Amino acid sequence: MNETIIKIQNIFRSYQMGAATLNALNNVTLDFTAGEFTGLVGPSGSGKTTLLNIIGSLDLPTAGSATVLGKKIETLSPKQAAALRNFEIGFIFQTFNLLPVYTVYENIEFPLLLQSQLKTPQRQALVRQALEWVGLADRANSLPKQLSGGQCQRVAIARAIVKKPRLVLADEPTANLDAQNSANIMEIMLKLNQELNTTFIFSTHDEKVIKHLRRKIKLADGQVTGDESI
Amino acid sequence: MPVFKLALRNLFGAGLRAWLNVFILSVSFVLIIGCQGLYKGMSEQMLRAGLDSYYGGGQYWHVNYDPFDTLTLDDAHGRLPDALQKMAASGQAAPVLKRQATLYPSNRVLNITLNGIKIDQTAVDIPTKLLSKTSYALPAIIGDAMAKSAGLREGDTAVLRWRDARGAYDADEIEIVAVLNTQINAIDQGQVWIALDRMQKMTGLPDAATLVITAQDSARPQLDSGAEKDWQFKDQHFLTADERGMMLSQYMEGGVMYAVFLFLAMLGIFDTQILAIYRRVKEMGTMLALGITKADLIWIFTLEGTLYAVLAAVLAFLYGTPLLIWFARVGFTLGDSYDQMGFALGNVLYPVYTPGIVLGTAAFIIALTALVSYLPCRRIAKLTPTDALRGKIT
Repeated sequence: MNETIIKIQNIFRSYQMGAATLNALNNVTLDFTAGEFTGLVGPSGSGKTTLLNIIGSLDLPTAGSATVLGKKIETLSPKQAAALRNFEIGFIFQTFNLLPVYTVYENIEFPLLLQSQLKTPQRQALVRQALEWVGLADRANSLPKQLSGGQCQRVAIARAIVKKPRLVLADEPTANLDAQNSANIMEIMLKLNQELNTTFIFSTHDEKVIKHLRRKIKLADGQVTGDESI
Repeated sequence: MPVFKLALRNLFGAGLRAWLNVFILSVSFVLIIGCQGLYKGMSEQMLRAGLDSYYGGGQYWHVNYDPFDTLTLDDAHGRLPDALQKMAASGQAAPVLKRQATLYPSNRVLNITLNGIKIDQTAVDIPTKLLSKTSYALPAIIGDAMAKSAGLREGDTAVLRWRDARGAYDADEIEIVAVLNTQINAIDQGQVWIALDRMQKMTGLPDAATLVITAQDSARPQLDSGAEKDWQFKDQHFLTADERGMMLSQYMEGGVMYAVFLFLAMLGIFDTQILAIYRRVKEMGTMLALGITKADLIWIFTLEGTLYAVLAAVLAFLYGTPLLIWFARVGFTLGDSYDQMGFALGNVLYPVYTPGIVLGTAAFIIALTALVSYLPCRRIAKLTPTDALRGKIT
């Protein structure tokens, strides 16, 4: 049986919107094990991205506890949170979020540059390998503006997995892609999940993603309304 | 983490925008150094003019002489000590006799100081040889400010009245043989220059002088103890106190201009940095999500901003060096209005660039650029990663 790598216990997250309080997460309790290919499914405003942000140590819960890869998110210092993201977690964003002035190669290399212990030949080998995985070895010197949306998302995937993280968090990764590109992206991520045993957690309401999931967690109004393994 | 590499990558990745910023900043470098050089050049020229035309290598003053009290002139004279006489004979010193007198140009009355100076002196660049002109009137030299206030031009005559050593009044006509283009007040305003030997005869003070100007390259003679009591040496530093005071005031005025200029340049950089950094909040959020620490993020973007100044300094060095050297050679031609400034300047002002000006300006601008780059970065780095990823500035 796979080990539990994420333990979410009675999490609440609320935001102050003027005089009103918005409860983005309302008493969420979930466990995730290594190697999962799981989706947080639900309409806009259901709390998917907020939960993903907390798991990714980009945000903190208002109450409750989130333990990710053995680290209690709510107790981490900003520096410890940055280290967790840098070494253990890969992010894929809906709008790709590539660094516009960097080439494809440099974008993928960026997380490795933050890991100062890696020597240049090691970095080069890892970047080349990531480029091969996503089939963009021939576009290494292109700038993001010279790529299609699908290619940009493949670069983002390569950037997320180049450091071989244990966990990849993908926030609506196919929302800006057409059917063909979405299928390609999902195929790449499934392959990486199987080959590297990387845990993937998606936030999505895209059927093209949902049909590939092995676990589907439904969220509505900040609460878990369903959790099914397929 | 190779912060420098990332900062450079960000900078060069910005393409034309980066180079425009670098170019504009380099122009500021060159202009500021150019202006500072002009002020420095102006100061040095002013001092040089003062030394060349009046202060020389220092002056020996008769013990009774007080330049701020004209009444002392009646008693401020004495026979030159032997050592100074020798210097004067060799042209290494110029004795000057000063007396109060009255000039009557075009029916007006002007109280003046009459200066007798040795015709064959070479200690200062007053064209005293012109005083040997043979004329029915006494040849005299005045400065252009004096000429303006007296309404006199070269070739004009005026009546001069003076008192001799016994207090008797006498008068004669003088002819202006030269109008000096100088604004050293000490030789210009209210001053009339005639030949020393004539003046000694006119006043009945043979061999007398009020002060002795030594040549700049002359060695200071040893006076005997008696003479040392009557003749006190005033060095260049003492003599140029007024000029230095004026320069300081000019420098302060220039400093205000410099500060305004620098402030405007910094405002431009600050604006550019704010725009550049606030436009890149999402990029910063992405970097935070990828695991960069806030400290490193601030460091990268501050360094990126600072590198603009460093590259601007390099660019300014490349095109500014020949430009400023050329400028220092041809100088800056001053218009006529500069004659009214009240201090000594030539027709052409030559800038002087010292290592202090160049390195100081560069270091100051780079430090200031670092500061104006750091401030917006710090603000952005305070955002939560989720706000930064949304590009939301709170």
